[in-house]
Amino acid sequence: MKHWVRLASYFYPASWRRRYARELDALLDEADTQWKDFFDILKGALTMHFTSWNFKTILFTFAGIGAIIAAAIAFSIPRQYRSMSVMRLPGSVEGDARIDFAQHVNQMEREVLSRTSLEGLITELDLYKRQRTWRPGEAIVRDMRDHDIRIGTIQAPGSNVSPTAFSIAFSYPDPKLAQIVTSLLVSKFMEENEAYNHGVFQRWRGRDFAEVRAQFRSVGLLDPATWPEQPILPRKTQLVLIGLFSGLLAGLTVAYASHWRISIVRRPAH
Amino acid sequence: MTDPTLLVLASLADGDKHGYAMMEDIERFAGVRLGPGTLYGAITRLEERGWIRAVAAEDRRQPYTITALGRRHLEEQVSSLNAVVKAAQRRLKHA
Repeated sequence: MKHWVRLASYFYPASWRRRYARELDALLDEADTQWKDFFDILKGALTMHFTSWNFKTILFTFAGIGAIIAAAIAFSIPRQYRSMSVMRLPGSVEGDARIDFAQHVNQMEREVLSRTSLEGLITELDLYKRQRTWRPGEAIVRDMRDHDIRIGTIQAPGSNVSPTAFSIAFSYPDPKLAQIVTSLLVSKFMEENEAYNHGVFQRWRGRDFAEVRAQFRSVGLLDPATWPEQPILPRKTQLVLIGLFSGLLAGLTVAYASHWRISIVRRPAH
Repeated sequence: MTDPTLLVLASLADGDKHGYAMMEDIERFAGVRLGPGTLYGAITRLEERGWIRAVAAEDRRQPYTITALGRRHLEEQVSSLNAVVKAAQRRLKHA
């Protein structure tokens, strides 16, 4: 233990060590050192550095440390790839039909993103392998639904009627699996839509054809699942910049704090 | 009173001491164990302020003594603390 505490004392600035190292060594020889003394010495050494450094040195050192930490985090975060597919909605739908169609899409979405449906995908493709060893299946499905799958409507530019298409996207560390899952989600949407239309035909018998036609929903594939070439996460440049600015901010605080401390130390004797 | 600088001044008020002796003394009279980094941070600041100074050493252990300026500062701090303690005691009695 004493060895580590003594080692930590080498972090003091050279000027400080020239004056106090000998007597600190003598103290360490006598004292019953503990682990907390190691951190106490490190803290003391850092404080001495800050009080002996000038404003610019503190600022740039902190900014550099912030950037290095952020870069380390950025490189340790697993990459995420996003594949996206676009599905076409029928022409312009207005009035009550618009609300009805939105309900239809929501209904399909509920079915496609149901726990049973997503659990089936996870098992079939062996997704989230590591997470499944320590997290409950319910939590994994919830995260997949809330964070990894994105469903959004697309409106034609300048159009003030209903959306003309909707997108389905899935993010995953493996680009190939991201594309496969997106394709399977699209297939599930198509199946749900077919099941709905099948129900309409079943109920058709003896009714007016125009009424049935109005209930028929046509959903088609516009863009198949894309191959994600570039990862969407981590945003390395953004993270490094955040680290840099956080470091600058911390440096500024420490620089002002140590300046304030020095001005107290050097105030004229009364 | 846990300010390390005041604890060091209080320890030196009854005679010169080196680092380890200060650590032991402070633990005895205040029940606070100052780590070596904290103790030497306080010693450095107090020496810079001119409130303590190093005296002749016989070995590697460097004894320090409190200066007149340091003693005056300690007296001021103690009287201010006394005022706080008295006010708190008075208020506790009336509560």
